[in-house]
Amino acid sequence: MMASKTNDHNDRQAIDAERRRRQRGRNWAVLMALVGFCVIVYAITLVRLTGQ
Amino acid sequence: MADESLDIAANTDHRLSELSGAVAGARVSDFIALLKPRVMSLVVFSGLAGLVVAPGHIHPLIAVVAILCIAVGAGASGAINMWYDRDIDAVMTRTRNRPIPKGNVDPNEALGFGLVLALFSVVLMGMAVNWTAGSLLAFTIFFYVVIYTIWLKRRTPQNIVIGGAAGAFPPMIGWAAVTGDMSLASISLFLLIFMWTPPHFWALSLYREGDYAKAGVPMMPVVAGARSTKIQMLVYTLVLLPIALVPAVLGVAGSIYAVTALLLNVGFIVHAVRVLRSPDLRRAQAMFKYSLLYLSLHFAVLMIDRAPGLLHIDFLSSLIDPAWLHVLVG
Repeated sequence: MMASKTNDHNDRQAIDAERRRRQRGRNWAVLMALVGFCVIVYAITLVRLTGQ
Repeated sequence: MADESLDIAANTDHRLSELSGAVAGARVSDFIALLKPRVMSLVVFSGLAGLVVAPGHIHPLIAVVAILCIAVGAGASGAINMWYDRDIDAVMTRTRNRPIPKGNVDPNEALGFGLVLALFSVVLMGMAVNWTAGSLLAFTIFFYVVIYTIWLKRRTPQNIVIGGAAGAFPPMIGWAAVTGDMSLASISLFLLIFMWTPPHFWALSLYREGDYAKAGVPMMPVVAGARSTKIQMLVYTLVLLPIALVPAVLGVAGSIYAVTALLLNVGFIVHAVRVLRSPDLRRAQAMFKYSLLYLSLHFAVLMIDRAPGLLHIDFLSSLIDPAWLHVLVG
């Protein structure tokens, strides 16, 4: 009984840690995509302006 | 003691790996898998080939953006395709480990991801490159998702014959990114992939026939049988031979391409004959692998042939040059 409760608690902790890790990964990916997008738009604007 | 803790760690890892996305959320790698990276690589390569061989000049940065848009557009199509096909993907061995059937990504999340990327790629292509390329990209995504995935795939054995057009557009998009138009030469690159798709996919479906039958997808071997499929594959490879030489005739490519294309097509025909004559499914598997090499080499040689500084002899185009006619007629 005690062992089962401890196991459940450990599982929950591991799941929470995994969830936080995945959330952090997704946040970084979105941040990088947004920064990349800004850089692309900036660079395209420069190229277009120079071209004209 | 150490063994016990190792066991606990292994068990926890195993339980975690079995967690669905609803519990722990999707990994970044799951979203990358939604983009079908392997399919994307061939699409990007053929798009790059169209861009390189097109006459005219494009700023290197705009070229990179065009390729990025083609890649993202192809990925978006893949994500929407996985959203729609999630029921049959769960049944087929080849696709049951995809992020949606595995439970790592919520279907609506995948659809939203695909739609946002599709919109992003088309708008960026239109605004940064030109709207001919943007419109072609939009039409390609529409064709793959609506015409192929939703309409044809589960209804007719001709699904990949017509649907193959979606995979054939990238060189035209690359070409349009440089020139802003669609010419006969770019259509010849389209035709090359369009005619290559049926023998390529049918080779795969010959040795995955059971999978497609289980999922109720009417691929040619499931509906018409192996023999009929093999005959059609051979017919397509025979028709593909002159089509593959058209870029050389039109002057898009030179003699290096013409010779390579000839050899590659003879190889493709030999594979089709072997598949027809043998019941061994390994022949079909070998033909499928060869077909991937076939297309990659076609476009690689096409680009090498057009690379600056290389000897460029358009012997085939010179054969149909009107100047020759003047000489002959006097």
